[in-house]
Amino acid sequence: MQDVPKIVLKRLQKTATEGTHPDADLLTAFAERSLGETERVRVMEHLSRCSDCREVVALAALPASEVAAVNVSIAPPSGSWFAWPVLRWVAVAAGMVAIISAGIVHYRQKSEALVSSLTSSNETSATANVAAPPAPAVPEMKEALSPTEKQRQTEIRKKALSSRTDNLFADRFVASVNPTAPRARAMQSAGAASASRGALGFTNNGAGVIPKAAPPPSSGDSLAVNGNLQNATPAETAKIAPNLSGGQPSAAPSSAQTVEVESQGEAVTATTDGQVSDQLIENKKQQPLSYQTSPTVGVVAPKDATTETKAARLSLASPRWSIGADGALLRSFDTGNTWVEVDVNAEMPSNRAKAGMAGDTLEYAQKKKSKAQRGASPVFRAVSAQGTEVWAGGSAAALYHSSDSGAHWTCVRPSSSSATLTGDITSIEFSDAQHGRIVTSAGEVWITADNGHTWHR
Amino acid sequence: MSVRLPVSGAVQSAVAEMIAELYGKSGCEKLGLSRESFAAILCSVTAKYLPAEASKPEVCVFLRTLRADELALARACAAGDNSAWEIFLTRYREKLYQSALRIAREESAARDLADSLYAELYGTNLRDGTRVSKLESFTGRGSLEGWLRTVLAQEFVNRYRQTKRLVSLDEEIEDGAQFAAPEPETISTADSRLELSTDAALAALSSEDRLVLTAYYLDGRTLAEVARMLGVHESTVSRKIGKLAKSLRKKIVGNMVRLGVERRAAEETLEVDVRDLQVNIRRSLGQESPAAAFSEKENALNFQGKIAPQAKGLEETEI
Repeated sequence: MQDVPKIVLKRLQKTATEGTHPDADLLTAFAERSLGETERVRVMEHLSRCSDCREVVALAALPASEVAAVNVSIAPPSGSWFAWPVLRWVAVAAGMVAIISAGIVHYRQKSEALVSSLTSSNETSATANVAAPPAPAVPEMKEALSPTEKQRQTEIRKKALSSRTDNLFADRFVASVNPTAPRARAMQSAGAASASRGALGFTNNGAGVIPKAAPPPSSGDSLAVNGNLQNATPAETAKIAPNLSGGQPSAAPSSAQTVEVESQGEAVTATTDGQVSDQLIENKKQQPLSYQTSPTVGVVAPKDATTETKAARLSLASPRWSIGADGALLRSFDTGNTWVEVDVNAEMPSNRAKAGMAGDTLEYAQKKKSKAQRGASPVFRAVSAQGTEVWAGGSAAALYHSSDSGAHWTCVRPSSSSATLTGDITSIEFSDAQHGRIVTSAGEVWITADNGHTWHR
Repeated sequence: MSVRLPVSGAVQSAVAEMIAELYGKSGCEKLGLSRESFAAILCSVTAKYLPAEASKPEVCVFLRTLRADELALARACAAGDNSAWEIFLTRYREKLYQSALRIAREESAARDLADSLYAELYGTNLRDGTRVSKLESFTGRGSLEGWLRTVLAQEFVNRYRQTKRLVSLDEEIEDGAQFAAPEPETISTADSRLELSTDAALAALSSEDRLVLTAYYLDGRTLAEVARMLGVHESTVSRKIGKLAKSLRKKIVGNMVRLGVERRAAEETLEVDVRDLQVNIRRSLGQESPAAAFSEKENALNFQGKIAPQAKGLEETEI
């Protein structure tokens, strides 16, 4: 934290004045934020000058855990899934999923290519000749493609705010595609056209989502992608990836090379310099295909779903617990934005967790429903959670324990040789999974040192 | 009530209008509180907080914000109603002790604190032959539970101030405070324009900003504590403090320039202050370090809000 000049502290101290302090009611109302604007400012003005009253307000403040519980009703459920801190992890997770799926595609394609090169190595020379005829048609193809190419290009440039010119882009495009051309050609001539399409889709995709893995030539592009991802919602990232797969083949060299080299060693020798330019065009021809065909989109779309569930599972690991105003046990998976009532008598169905995340209406419906159900369920007064270990206690010595974050509950009756716990449980404190302390309304204190197996007063 | 405040006509008519609603909501009947006495309570509460010229709608809005049920309960307890006391005890007894423990952080002190508050709540002091309960002063502006915590905290702060005064001389001698080097006068004499500029910059701040600054830098509260005080998120406070520190620096320099100091000289004066502060921290920490061995004294020093901010400053300068 930045420091302020000493003179500021000194003058702040000087402003301290002894006046009439606001009474306890006003300080309480200030802390609970139930004051009107003018009164609030007045109290704040006094607090900024009176260290004693600041001390009082700070001491009287509830600990953080209870504040969260109090604020449940106040805090509106926000779209926290799309908030930046969450999104950052979504982006990272999306990248990981992309690597994995790319790896799978790659592996499949590798084996495919291997098989085809083994079976059709004799045919290669023949198909190489056959591949030549498309050359005359190439210029027209180029003409036809360039408008869309340009459009896509500008789109990307706009998003990335990069100052690259068309020429630059074109130069790099040629430069980066050239080295791949022989291999791509060889692959085609080996009759693995579909595989190469897949390869293109994959490599572009890889470059789009994992900027760091991309080779130097594409660093500008990857930066741009990064910028896009930062601002985009998960849905948008799905859109961006295909965009890239059409417009940015510059990432192809590094990733495509590694696998195909072994299988096409002989075929490469057949390609000449003249054919390289044909190849370039043919590569281009492939791009729109991979742009339109679903493989890339298919890879990206499910990624979002898995990311979300992954994040959900993360938060599942450590839900927050609270007690509602009517003594209901509440649980939140999204750091306190939405709360769902937990019925300790029923086995936790997983759809409750879903309801918690789906938002307001579902949660409300759930609440209503469970309120109707909760005839027999006790009125809770205290809850304590240590990791997945949850203890909840309430009126009439009701004490429930769950060791799996509330999925399954067992009713516990603490008793020692001389007595059994009676009365209402008003407080539960667990310092770790093993050691806990329960206070009842009768003033009894029960202590356990073995996660609730044995108790003593 | 100890003090009878004049009640305006607007208040009276507003209370008369809303008494039926509030009386039903508060559950006064069960607590042995008559409609007339509750109306009188509402009038006095309103007169205490609203200006005399408040209009009737304003009074109505104000009355709605009151916690009628808790107000009724507290006043019924103060009046000595047994059923009210029973409800109060079951609801708040345990919470009171827990809050006391959290405030005093030590079992026996907490028990002492809570017990003395109990005595006050029950009303051991006699005035004109009738016992006076502290609950009489509860007005329902905030929750009763929060009020109890605040009262406990006030009591705790008061006690601390007294004990601090009693032991301070001895501690000073132990600390070697009498041998402490005199405060360097460099800053105050160096440039009164710096003080003027700083005061102007501070006066321009909103009360909330000033509260954040004092709580964080003078009292040495953590970001989380400041955030809880204001009911905002920790990151908000952190951002605010960062911004404030930066803008204050800029404003002070700007003010000094306006007062005729050269910009570079003004910036240097500020920087000199910071360096000067670091030297002071090292020295004062060196002197105060033996005190840390005694927990009581440490608390007392923390209470003065001296160690923590300085320690914080030191940490940062070393980084």
